[in-house]
Amino acid sequence: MRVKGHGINVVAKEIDVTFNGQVVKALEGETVAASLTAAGKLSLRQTKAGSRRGIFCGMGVCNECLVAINGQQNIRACMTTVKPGMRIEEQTYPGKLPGPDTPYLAEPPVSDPPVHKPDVLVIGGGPAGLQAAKAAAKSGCQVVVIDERPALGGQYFKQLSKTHAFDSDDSMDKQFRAGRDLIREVEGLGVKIMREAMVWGAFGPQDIAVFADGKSQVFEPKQLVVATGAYERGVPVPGWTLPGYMTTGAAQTLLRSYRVSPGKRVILGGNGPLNIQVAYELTRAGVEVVAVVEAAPKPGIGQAGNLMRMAVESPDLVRDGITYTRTLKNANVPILYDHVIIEARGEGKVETAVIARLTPNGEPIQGTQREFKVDAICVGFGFQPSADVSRPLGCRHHYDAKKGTLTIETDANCQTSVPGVFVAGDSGGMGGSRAAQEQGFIAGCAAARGAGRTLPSDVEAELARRKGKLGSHLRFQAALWDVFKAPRWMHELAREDTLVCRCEEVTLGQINQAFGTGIDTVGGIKRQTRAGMGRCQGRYCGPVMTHLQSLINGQPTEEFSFFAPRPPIKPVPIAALARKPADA
Amino acid sequence: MKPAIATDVLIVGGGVIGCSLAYWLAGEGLDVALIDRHDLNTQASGCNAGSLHVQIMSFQLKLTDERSRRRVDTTLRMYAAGVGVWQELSNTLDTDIELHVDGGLMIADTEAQLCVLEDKVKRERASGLDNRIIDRAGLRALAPYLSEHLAGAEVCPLEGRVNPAIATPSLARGAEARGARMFRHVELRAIERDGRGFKAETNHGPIRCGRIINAAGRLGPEIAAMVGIRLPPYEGEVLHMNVTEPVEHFVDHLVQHAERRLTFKQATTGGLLIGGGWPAVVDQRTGLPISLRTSIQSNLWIAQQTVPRLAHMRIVRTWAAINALSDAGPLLGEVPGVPGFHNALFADAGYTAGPIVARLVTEGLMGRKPTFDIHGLGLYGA
Ligand SMILES: Cc1cc2nc3c(=O)[nH]c(=O)nc-3n(C[C@H](O)[C@H](O)[C@H](O)COP(=O)(O)OP(=O)(O)OC[C@H]3O[C@@H](n4cnc5c(N)ncnc54)[C@H](O)[C@@H]3O)c2cc1C
Ligand code: FES
Repeated sequence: MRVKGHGINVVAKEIDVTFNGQVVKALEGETVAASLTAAGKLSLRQTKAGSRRGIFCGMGVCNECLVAINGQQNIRACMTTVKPGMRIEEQTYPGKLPGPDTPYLAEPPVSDPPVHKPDVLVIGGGPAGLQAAKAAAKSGCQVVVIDERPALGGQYFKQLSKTHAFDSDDSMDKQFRAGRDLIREVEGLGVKIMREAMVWGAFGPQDIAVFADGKSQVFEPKQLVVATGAYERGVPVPGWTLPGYMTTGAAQTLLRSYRVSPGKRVILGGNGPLNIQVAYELTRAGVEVVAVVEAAPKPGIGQAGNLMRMAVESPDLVRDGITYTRTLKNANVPILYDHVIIEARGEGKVETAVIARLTPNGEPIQGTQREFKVDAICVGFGFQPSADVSRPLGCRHHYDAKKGTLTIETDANCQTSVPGVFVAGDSGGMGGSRAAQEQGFIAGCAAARGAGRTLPSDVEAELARRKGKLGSHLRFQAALWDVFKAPRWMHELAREDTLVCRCEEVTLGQINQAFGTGIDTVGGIKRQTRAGMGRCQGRYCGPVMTHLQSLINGQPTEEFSFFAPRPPIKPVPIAALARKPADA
Repeated sequence: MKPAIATDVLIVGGGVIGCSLAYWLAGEGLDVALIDRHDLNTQASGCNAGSLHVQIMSFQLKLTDERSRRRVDTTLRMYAAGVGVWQELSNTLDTDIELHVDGGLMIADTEAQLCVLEDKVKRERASGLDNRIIDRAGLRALAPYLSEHLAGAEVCPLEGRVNPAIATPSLARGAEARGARMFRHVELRAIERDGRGFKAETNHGPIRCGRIINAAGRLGPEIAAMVGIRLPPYEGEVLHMNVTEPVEHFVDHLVQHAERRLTFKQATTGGLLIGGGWPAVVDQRTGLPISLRTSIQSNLWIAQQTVPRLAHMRIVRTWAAINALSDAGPLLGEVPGVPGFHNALFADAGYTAGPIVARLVTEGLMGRKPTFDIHGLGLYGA
């Protein structure tokens, strides 16, 4: 459903497209995912087993939102902008063989694709990447920023899409404004920005393969800043693959960028402040939010110290938090602490969310189940840093057992173990958007130095200031996550028949059974069950399976416990890659 | 996992050859234990493309010395017999191993290439294969998914595919069901004589055994060295494979090119597996095989020239793995002078040959007459 008001108006033309033959009204320039969600079409693709899927990650990672468009198969609805007359169809499995009139996914290059040699290549246009680009450009570097999304800003600074406009600057919240200002500043510095450009392979620090503009292009930068962000951890629960069950980040993108609500009656759940923020944003937009289900206990007197610390480090964020909870309270939206969504039910789409109260060690208590009739469930259990680029480059990582994530090793300058490769922001470990910006700036400066530049005095000064503030942000984050301290589930909420690998439809039971035959590595399980072989490249099931592996073989999880990183980082058209060999 | 302290037959290596050996030897009622330094089926057997290769490959045509020619001709017959054993297994194993013997095509761009194939067919027919040449029109009728520019192809009816990720574990399960014991993460480090048998030193302590079968694949020469046998070393070839997104079934054959590095087929899942011997490398720090951009791009260029429809498809995965190459030919059977020590080593298209290799070694070990004429195969004692 579309939301209205708040000084935001539609400025795009209304256009007609069809979905499975039915006319759907869309706004020119929004994503196909936004048009279809606005029209209440949540089920986008069929799986091999015949079940339905819809938007899950909303950021191009999960490949659940696949549709066929004008005959072309397997297009991600969340990453594709809608055009007049598009013939959109539910994606079948396997994909159809397109007829002769269907346009190719890319035209094979007629000449050798371009090779770019900027001083600094920044991968990712979120807070960290934009700050890195700013620092490097201000230091005299030639900088290119590439991002897979249609617009800059990443997760945190994602902007209102061109389909809408604010009445005036006053209607913009400060998150929008800060993002807009940073994007404008970077654009003003002469940084080359490539949108809808996807890194499909990282073959070396000076061999980055990018799919952009319908062709594969090669970057040979002097220095590389990786700021690819993070994606939501996948926590399998029964029904988590139903259309309408999506990440909180996906819901927020629909709402903030496209003014579309994932449903009419929504429940949010998981762990952490983002769920509360998005519940607030949905409530303000007039959507009925039935509850926020939070795994952490309600912050009591014991958290006074952490709350004080947060108030000292970032008083404005604490004020925002108070606004969010107060608004929810006034709107009678309960925040149910010590609870978790244990199941989603429905015929072909979400209809019911089942929640339960938790014991102190995170087990749902029998008999405390409650059901809510909803048409969307938004879930965020925290994030996985995206190591898509850093792992294939051979950068050293380690497993952070406390957070349950594979984490890159960097020094104080965000330099990885591979010379000339820097990692900043969420892809370097979660620290929030403020820490991401400081790290981005630090990495941008280090990259500029690496490219042989001397930092101008104002950049030096800003660098010193930002290095000083980084500690404060990280202290804020540590206190925040102590307040939101909750059980970190992997497979525990899944039943035997719950899918762990969404893409290849492999259940927990099948994985356990394969482990039971004596296989004791994730690689072995992958070959045996296909779990992890799908389009998302094991991004969601991989960490869960790695955890199971350590339970089975008793070995601690480490850098090499995970699936081996393999190109392509995301599926990429063959025609764009095909390149005549030298001897042909 | 703690290994058994004693066994009659110890198989070293849990690839397709080792698992098939365990399956048959346990079926003979022998006391069998198998060890692998990794999990089962992780090396070449778990990472190969599952093509059932029979016909002489284009690079083998370039081997013209008499010894190589003889080796190529005999392994050719072994591959053909190997497909037969796979067909048998697909009827007896507990799962569908996705075996399809729908024929293979070796395609030619030009009339000149086709002439070379004509000579090759003569040689293959002399070894008892029913291969034939088809012209441009014949190829269009048989495989309309191929580019119109092709001049023709050789058809090899015995070729096809099997799914190694399913087939090897199924063999391993079968072996266990017959009483074989499989020990993962047990590495053989030394072999000592122990009366008439051996004492095998491992990272989990010694294993006493009557006989040892060396099915350690690429590392086979290292195992043989433990009993003082010098085998020609295997060359490790790091190879690259591409996988496309699944589409409706449209490719029936195993297709390879007469001159260019291209092999592909459509797997049961609907994805095309595209390879052909493009190189990959091993990362210095991580030790993992990694793909090269030029290999991916070149391989896909040739593929797209051959199947224009690939321009509608994406590539979703690649992998790289190490295959063993050798010009020594198969090394099978009990080693003269080292009673009780058997080799079961086969390089090149070893997945196709795996079960027949294991069957021959089993027959040798049981002292039976081989079911397959092994003359000239290098079988010890033959
Ligand atoms: C990318 C690729 C594609 C291929 N494509 C095809 C194809 O399409 N068709 C085809 O027929 N063939 C193909 N091959 C070749 C085929 O896979 C191999 O020839 C065959 O699997 C070899 O089987 P194996 O059992 O001898 O060796 P492996 O599968 O390598 O097994 C040997 C085992 O021994 C273990 N081992 C080694 N040393 C020790 C020790 N000291 N202690 C304990 N254990 C030890 C290893 O861990 C391993 O598990 C391909 C190979 C590759 C790499
Ligand atoms: S929702 Fe589009 S890729 Fe995840």
